[in-house]
Amino acid sequence: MVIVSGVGIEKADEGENLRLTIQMIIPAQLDESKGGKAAGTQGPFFIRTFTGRTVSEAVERFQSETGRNVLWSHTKVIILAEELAQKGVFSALQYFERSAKFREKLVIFVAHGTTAKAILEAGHEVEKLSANAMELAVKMGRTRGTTPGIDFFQFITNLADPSLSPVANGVKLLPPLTVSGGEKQQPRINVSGTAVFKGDRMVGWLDPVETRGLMWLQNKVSKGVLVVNSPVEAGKQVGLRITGSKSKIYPEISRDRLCFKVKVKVETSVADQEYQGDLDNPAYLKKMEKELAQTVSEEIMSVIEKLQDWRTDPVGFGRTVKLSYTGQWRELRQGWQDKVFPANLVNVEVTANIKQTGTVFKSKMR
Amino acid sequence: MLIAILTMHFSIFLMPGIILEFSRQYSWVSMCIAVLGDILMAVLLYALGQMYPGRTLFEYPQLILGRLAGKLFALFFLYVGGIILRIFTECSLTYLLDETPFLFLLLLGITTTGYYVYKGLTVIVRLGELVAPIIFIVVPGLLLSVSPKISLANLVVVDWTWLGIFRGALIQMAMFGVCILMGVFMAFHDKPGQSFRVKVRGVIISGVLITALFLVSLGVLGEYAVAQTTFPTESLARLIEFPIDPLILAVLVMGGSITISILYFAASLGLAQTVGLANYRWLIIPAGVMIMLEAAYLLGDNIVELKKHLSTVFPVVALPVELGMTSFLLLAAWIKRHSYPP
Repeated sequence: MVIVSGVGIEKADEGENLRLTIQMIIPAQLDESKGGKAAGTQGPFFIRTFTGRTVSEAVERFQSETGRNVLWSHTKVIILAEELAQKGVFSALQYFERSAKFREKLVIFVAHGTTAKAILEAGHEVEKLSANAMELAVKMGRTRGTTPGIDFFQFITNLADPSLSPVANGVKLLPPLTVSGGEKQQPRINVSGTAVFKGDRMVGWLDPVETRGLMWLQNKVSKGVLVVNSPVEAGKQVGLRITGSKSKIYPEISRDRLCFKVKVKVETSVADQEYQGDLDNPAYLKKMEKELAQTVSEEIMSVIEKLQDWRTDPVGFGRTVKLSYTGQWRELRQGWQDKVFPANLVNVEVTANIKQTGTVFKSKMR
Repeated sequence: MLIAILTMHFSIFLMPGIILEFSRQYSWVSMCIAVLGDILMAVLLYALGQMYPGRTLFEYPQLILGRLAGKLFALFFLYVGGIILRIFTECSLTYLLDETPFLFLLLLGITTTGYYVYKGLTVIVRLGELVAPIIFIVVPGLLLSVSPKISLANLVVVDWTWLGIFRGALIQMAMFGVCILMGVFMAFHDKPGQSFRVKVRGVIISGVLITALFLVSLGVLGEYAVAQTTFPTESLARLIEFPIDPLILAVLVMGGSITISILYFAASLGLAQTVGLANYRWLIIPAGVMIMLEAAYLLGDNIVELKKHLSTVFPVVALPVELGMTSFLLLAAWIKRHSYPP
């Protein structure tokens, strides 16, 4: 039995259409007490690459080479190469849609600035399997807004609706840490950012801050830290921990013009400050709240500008129109992403609150 | 008599996709029409039952029109039995036993249910009473646990046509109409009136349940995805973190085998009564072979043809038998009784 943990899909170099990289688990080596690594592997897994005209053909070649039963149901991640994503992911993902062997919870990634193979080969300091590490990082990141946390089901469902587009999680490699005098370490996996699609083609990247902007719009941020300028000392910063947030998009049609109002409510508590200043003053808090609202609003606006520029609506602005203005939606949905959505005004209204200051009002340290 | 409810459980599997393709967000309207149509059938059958107490559905046409006419219902049950056997086989092929030969699965299905039929109606009904609670816990449980994933925008109605709603309703009515089986069991029932109430209750309960299923699958999967999903119920089950999809497949197998065996039983009994055999058990094997052949060859070579068959041929065949034939029988019986008073 061979257990697959991750699949990478790229464009093949010559002849064939697709190159499939498969990460397989070596169960014996997951057991720590045994120790040791099999020859030619970096960890308790090994990597094989197969090409094919379709994904199924590559899978079949893999199947016949291994000569063992392949267990697909533990596949945790699919990593798409950036180049493939830009040309369209339709042909790469259909195999996974049709087959009943895969879980709908499979996480979809686009490799940022590297190959899918390199990502699968990279090790991780804590987790034994890079596929596991990526899955956990996505679970952690999606409440913090650093990664959209899109799974296979959401990706496909968004792709099914002509007024929507999907997004995928970004993953990249950070340069290896070199321990002084020690052996060179492997590059590290970093799950962050968002690959934005239009239809099944990728159109661009959002960095982690813009990703949080996207997540504000989708009412998905519940944790994380925002840093704002100090109201007291210029050039110093205050870290605010997000304790809760709520957002909603309100479409409005007045005199045949459609516009959106995004209302966001953020609650935070003070995490730390860069100076000794006094927070025991409501006026300072109010000032900081204003600053905070400004920061969030900028995060959101930067994303909206990009999305309108790319003519894609992964947030579901169109769906809010469908809910509130069903009659008008019948006309508006024609070319929604291409013409209608990019032409509309979006106003962002952020209400920010600082509710707590932690265990002290003012730091006791002098 | 939980049978009436169980009989309709097959609409849970392949059907949501087909019906939602036609009636989309207005599937609940389709469902109301279908339930009303079905209650009408129950009324017709009840009236027939009152006229000929202690007789089965197969005997009415013999008494009213002559010997051969009774075969029609028996053949109809054979046909529906074949459809259900086919649907369940396809579903287990897709999700469970994708490397098992198709014919072997059919054979397995028909021998198991054939054994139930051989053991008789009591065994099937007892089994039904055992399985029904499981179904009624698992299916609503599934719906509740995926309901947080519903997106309201998916339920908003944008495009709809009367034709779509109507076609959806016809297919669903044809599905529910299989409950003219009640006409068979009424004869075995102590109080025929009770059988009428049970049937109406059964249709309403499953109507509500299936509508809920439709709306939840629509809300979660979206109108564009749901019509293309082969087995939406199973797809829903796979979305839950907690792995209940094997449970759904277990429900499929349990509910399915009982549904098939009821129809199988009715068909063998019907054939026996129209041929004039005293014991229906002689006909279990011939009926089984017929059901199997039909499931294997008559309903199309592949799942796409099966879907097409279910949405086009099935209602055209089923409704005239279910609604047309019963009302015609009632009319004929009424005329006969009034023109030649006994």
